Amino acid sequence: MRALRDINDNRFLNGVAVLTVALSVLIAGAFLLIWTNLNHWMTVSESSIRIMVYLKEGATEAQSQDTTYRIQGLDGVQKVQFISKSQALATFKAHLKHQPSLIDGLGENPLPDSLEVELKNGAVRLNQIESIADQITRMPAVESVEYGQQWMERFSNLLNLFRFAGMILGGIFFIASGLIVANTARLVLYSRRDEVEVMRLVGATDLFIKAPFYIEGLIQGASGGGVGLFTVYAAYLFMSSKLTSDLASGFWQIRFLSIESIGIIIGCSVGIGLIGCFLSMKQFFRN
Amino acid sequence: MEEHRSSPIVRMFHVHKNYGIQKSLVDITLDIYRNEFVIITGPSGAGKSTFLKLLYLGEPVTQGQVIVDGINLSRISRRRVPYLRRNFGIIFQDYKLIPTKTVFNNVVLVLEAMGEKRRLIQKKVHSVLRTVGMEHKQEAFPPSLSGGEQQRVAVARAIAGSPRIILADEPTGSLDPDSAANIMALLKGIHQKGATVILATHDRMLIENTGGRIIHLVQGQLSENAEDDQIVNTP
Repeated sequence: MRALRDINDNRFLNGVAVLTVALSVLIAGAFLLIWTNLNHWMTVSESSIRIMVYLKEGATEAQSQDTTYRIQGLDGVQKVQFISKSQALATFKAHLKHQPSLIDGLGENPLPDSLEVELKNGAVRLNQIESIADQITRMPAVESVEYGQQWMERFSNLLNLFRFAGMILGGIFFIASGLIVANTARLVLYSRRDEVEVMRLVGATDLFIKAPFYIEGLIQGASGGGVGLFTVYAAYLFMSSKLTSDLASGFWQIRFLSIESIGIIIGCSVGIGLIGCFLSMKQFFRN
Repeated sequence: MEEHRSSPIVRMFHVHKNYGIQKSLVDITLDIYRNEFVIITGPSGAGKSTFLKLLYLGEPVTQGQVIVDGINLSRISRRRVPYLRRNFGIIFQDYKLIPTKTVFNNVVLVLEAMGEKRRLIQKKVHSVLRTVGMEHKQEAFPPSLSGGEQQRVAVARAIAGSPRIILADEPTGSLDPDSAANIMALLKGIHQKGATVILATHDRMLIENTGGRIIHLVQGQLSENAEDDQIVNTP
C-alpha cells in the first residue's frame, strides 16, 4: 500500500524510470527477436539443404555407383540420388519451358552427371555440412561440390554480429536503466528524508523503511519490462502481417520470443529495478 | 516518591558527550525513576537536547554508560535500536510532522512502524486524537494547522504507541502561552496515567508552573547551585 501511495506521489520520477527500463527492454528485445528469427531461418535452411555433387566428365557408371556408396556411408547423410546429365537437362528444360530458344541454342548437353545428397534432418549444422562436403570433394570421380557455402558463412557471421551487438547494446541500456532507477529511488528518498528520519525516531526498522522502495523498484522494473515487451510484440505483429502479405508463400514466417526469453527479460527488468534500489538505499542509509 | 526511587528507568554513569573538541555533556551521573516528571533546564547550549538524544540513541555517548529500562545502550546492536526507540514518545519543538500526510496518517505511521494490526491502529489513532482534541481535524494536513494544533498532533503521535517514557524537547518553544498551557496539561495527563516524562526547556514560567524534579545543566554539567533533586510541588 505504502509503495503504491509513493508511486502515485512521485508519478513523474517513476514514469521516467519505467520508460527507461522499457526502452532497454525494447532494444534488447528487438535484437533478440531478430536474432531468434534469423537463427531459426538458418536452422531451417541448414536442415533442408542439399549438397549437389557434380561428377567428372566421362565418369563411368561404376565410378558413379562407387561414389554414391561412399557418400551414403558418411555420417549425417540421409539419402543419395543419382541424376544423369539427360535427367538434369530435362529438369532444366521444364524450368525454362517459356524460353525454349535458350535451350535450343545449347547444342550438346553441357550438364554433368550429378548426385543429390540429402542430409539427416536436424543433425546437420554448418560445420558438419562443411566436413561432409570436404570429404566428398576428395573423392576421385568428383568434379565439384555445391551447397551455398558462401552465403551460409556470411549469414552465420551476420548472426554472430547481431547477437554480439544486441548483447552489448542491451547491456549498456540495462546498466543505464539500473542507474536511472537508482537515481529515482535516491531522489524520492531525499525528498522524503524528513519522513525517513521521523520513521527512525518512532522505532521503524530498516526493513519497514526500505520495503516500499524495494517494492517500487520491483514494480518499476516489471512495468518497464512489460511495456518494452508489449512494444516489441506490437512491432512483431506489424512486421509479421506485412511480411506474410508480401511473401504469400509463407517461406518467411516470423516467430515471437520464446516463453523462456520473455521470462529472462522480465527477470532482468525486475532485477535491474531491485539492484537500482539497493544501490541508492545503500548510499542513503550510509550517510 | 520513595516508591518511584526504588526503580530507576534511566541511569547515567559518568556520561560525557563531545562534538569534536566541543564538550556538550560532562560527567553526568544521575537516575530518573519510573513515573517521574523531570524537567531538564538550563540556558541555550547547556546540553539539554543532547541529554535527550543520548537516551534514544539519536547520538552515541562519547564516554560513560547510559542504561534505559535495564538496557545498556553502549552494548545494544544497531538492529535493536528501533525496538529501544519504541520505549519513547518523542516531542520536538519543530513538531517534525510529515507535511504530505494527514493528521490521521501522521499518527498511523508510528503504529504501522510498530507492526500493530490495521484494525487496532484505526481505534488507537481515533483514541489518541480524541485525547489531544484533534479528532475533528484528522483529515487536515499539518501545514494548514496552527503551531499549537501541530504540537497537539505531535503529542498524539508520541503517545500512540503507549511508550513508557515521553521525551519532550522544548515542546512549547514555538507556542503562544495558551497553546503552551494546553500542551503542558496534556503532558501532565500522560504523566498521571503512568508514563515517565522528561522535558527539556529553558522557559522559566513553565518550570515554575510545572511540578516535578528539576535537573539544571550549565555548560554540559549538572549545576551545584540549582539542586538537581529539587522537587517542586505539583500545582
